[in-house]
Amino acid sequence: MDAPAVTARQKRVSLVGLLLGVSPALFVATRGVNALALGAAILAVLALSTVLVSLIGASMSPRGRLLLHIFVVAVLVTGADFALRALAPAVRRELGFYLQLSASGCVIVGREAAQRPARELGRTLAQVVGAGLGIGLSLLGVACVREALGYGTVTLVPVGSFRGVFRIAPLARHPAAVALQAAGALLIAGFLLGLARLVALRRGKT
Amino acid sequence: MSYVGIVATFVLAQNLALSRLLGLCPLVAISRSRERALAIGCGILFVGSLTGMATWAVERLVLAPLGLGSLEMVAFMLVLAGVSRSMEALARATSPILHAILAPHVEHTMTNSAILGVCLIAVESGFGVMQSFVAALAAAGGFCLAALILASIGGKLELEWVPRPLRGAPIALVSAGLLALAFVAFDGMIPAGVAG
Repeated sequence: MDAPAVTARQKRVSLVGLLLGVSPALFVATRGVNALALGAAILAVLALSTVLVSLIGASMSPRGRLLLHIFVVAVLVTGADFALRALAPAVRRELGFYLQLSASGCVIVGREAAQRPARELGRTLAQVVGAGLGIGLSLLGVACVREALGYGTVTLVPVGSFRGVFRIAPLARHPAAVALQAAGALLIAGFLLGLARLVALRRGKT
Repeated sequence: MSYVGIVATFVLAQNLALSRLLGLCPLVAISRSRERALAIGCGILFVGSLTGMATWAVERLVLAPLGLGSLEMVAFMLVLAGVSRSMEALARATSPILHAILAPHVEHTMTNSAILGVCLIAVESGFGVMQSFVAALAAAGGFCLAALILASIGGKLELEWVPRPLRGAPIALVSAGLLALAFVAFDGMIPAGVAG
């Protein structure tokens, strides 16, 4: 296997790992707007926790750093939960405690980055932001498909007189409730991942 | 809720991994090895049951009296990390076999969202200490069951032809989705009297 193929494979696997790492978020990503809120919160927690752990835990042992990382992520996720309660209470009600449970995913995703030395902070931060964006976009993709199949709508952020809701009439008349369940999330995530791989194969990336 | 109801709920009807997608990362990662599934499941069983009782104590004796309920996630994550490390140290000191089983997976259990989830559900449901312990034990048992079934499916899939784009993680996710659909059937099978 040549080197570029290994790199491409590792990148794909890591995206799956990222999405699975935040699986509680995947469960409640039943609307586009939920996925946007979750994605923004996870991105902010990943970036801030990386910076804080790099700066505070510079002289700590790896075990100490891991504990510090868990503590910092838990505090930041609790803060994000408070912010969501204040800014978007309806979205917070739909998410329940699953935003907080995504903290464990943030620890898994950011664990390796949090162990790197502070002098590599810039590069580490760029990688973590990339991971956060990857998680957010993946959640948004899965959430939009689940919402379209389950409700016949796609809900994004309201802007001005636009309420942020796209209605897909044929799907709204025959909603598939299974898309909104955990099983639907897994099936849709699996098939979307397969579709992404098919596109990559067709383009000759593998 | 009765103890039988708690066990039936968390092992079958509301299996945390399959009905709420909690702790899914190790489940899909171990999709081909029954031995690893059992090892991680054992780790989660030991750590989860103790964490269930410890978080109950922290909630009732510290957070609730001080009005700090909103900090439960911070407290629970630290309790889980502490219990995981303590169990690992205890296993190292007392049983080399147990340590060999638990040590490689201690970081999976330290931040396992299934354990954290059942602790939060126990607090929300107003469970007592024994109910919290049984709920955590049942949730870990449900995790073991799901992990073993998925590992068996993964093993069988290795012998079958799978379309190339679906090989690996995609087919593992689809398998988990179909298994989750099968587990939905248990939801209506538990009598209301048992489920409470």
